Amino acid sequence: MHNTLNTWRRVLAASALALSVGTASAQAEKFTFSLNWFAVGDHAAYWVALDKGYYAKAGLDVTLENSKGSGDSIAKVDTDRADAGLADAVAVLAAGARGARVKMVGMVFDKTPLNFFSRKDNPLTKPKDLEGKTVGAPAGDGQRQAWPAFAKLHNIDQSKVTWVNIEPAAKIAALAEKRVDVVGDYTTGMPFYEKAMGVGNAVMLPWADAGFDLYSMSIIASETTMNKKPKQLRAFLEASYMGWRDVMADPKGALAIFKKRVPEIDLSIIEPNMMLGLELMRTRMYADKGIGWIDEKKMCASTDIVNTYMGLPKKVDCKAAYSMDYVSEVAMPLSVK
Amino acid sequence: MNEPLGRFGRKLAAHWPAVAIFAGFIMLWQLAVSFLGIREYLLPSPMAVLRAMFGDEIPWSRHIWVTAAEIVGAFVIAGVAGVLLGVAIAWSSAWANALTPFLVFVNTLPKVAIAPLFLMWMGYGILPNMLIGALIGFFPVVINTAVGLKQIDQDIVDLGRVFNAPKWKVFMKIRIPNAYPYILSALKVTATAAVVGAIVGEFVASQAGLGYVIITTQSSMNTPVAFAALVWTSILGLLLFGFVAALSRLLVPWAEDV
Repeated sequence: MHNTLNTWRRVLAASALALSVGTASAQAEKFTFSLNWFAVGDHAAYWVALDKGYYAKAGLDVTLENSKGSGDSIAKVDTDRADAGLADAVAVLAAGARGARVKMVGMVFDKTPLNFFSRKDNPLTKPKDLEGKTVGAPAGDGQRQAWPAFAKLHNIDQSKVTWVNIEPAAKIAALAEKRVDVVGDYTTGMPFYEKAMGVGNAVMLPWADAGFDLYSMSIIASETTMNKKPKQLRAFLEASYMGWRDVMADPKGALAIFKKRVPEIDLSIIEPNMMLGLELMRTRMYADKGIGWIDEKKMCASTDIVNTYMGLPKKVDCKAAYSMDYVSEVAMPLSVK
Repeated sequence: MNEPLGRFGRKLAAHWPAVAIFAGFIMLWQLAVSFLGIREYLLPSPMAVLRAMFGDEIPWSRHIWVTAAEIVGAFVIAGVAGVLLGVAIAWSSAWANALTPFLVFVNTLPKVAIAPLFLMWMGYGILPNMLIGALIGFFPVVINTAVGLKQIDQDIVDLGRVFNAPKWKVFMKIRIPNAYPYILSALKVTATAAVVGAIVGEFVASQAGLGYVIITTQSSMNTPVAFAALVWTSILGLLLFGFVAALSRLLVPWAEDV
């Protein structure tokens, strides 16, 4: 008897829950956000915002969708298969020159994560060491695209550096197995290299430390979203940066949510991966202006590099490539480093 | 004077449906791009692709040469290895029992997933890409060779026995010629598999080749050039296919339809 009562209670509670969820999603507006890749550390913020109901409170029913690289994410946003997305600034600028109607509406990393990895037995200690080396990177990587500018800045003889196109998934193995001397990959990738090569055996050469700066991971939106859903876009960005704020304030808690939502992730790698990402965000700029702020001077400098070296059919106007109309200030809880 | 024109006319009559399908496809494609206002980086028009194919933005001959070498290499390796394995399987049931399960296992491995391992084992370059193509394309040759060697009019084999021909001679003079149509039709499949293998290999790691061009230009949204590389790739595939078809007509004119 007692048992049946309990069962009935459960059924009632479940149907009440189903009802409330039903009504909530009936009111909430669908909003698809295309991530740039499979789950990595810098995606935690969006899962946190989703899990804590920041999107729901803003009236959005957000779907997070994996993509295969920035190009894929841009194409989805540009063709309205997603309302907003994550993509590398260099890829966004290149797509703009070829007719894509997307803009950057908020930044993720303020400092550039561009970086070279090498092995301890054949390390890259300064940019000039690249001469005579073989460098592997996927054709679309920021490092590959911005390379001529980096080489010029450090007076590297480009004819003495051999580039090999490798698949993103093969980067780590190619370096670990000595098929290439150097691999271009974000600083945040360090834990993956240490797992393959052993702790202390992977050497980083962050471009930011070598006097090079370029915008990288950004949040983009299509013309359609900006024109037809400006309120939703604004709400989405605010909730997302609140997710970032929570990641910064409580990384462990954020990782627990991330793991709950995406059980396939390996926290022993994703945790340091995410923490390295935070290092790229604790800048004076974000402390003063809020997380995600885009600086015009820096955007135009980034655009200059793309315009000069990428051989695009037309020059991109940096002021038309981004918009700050949709970001509301979310204060950064971290100290500047 | 009239005769070559007549021959040409007959050829045209025989091939016009194929030409019409191509022409219709290209026309629909052009119309879709023009009237639906599709942006070039999503789907370039046939004209834009044609311009890219003969433009000087890309040193085409170098890339075509690399990919052609990989395709031909993969085709030859798959062909030779496939025929040898097929002969082994048809030679004795002991060999067949020993080899077949392993060959089936190798064939079911998804080659796209193995390709990155080739990079680790062998580095990058033309040879690993040839091997990936060969791995994708060898199996039909094995199976068809074995089937062709076994499916034979028993009377002819008996005739050989009557004359006391040794087993190897029966193989060389009777069974192998009997298997030609089977082997050649398998080689047509291998021809296209070799193309897939070369491109898959170049996607994983490369410094040159048409697959390299596709992946490089896609990442900078230069879709017309990526499409141009696709068309060049399929031209290479068609040429190899045509070569095998011509070989069939030459060697086994009685079985041209296989």
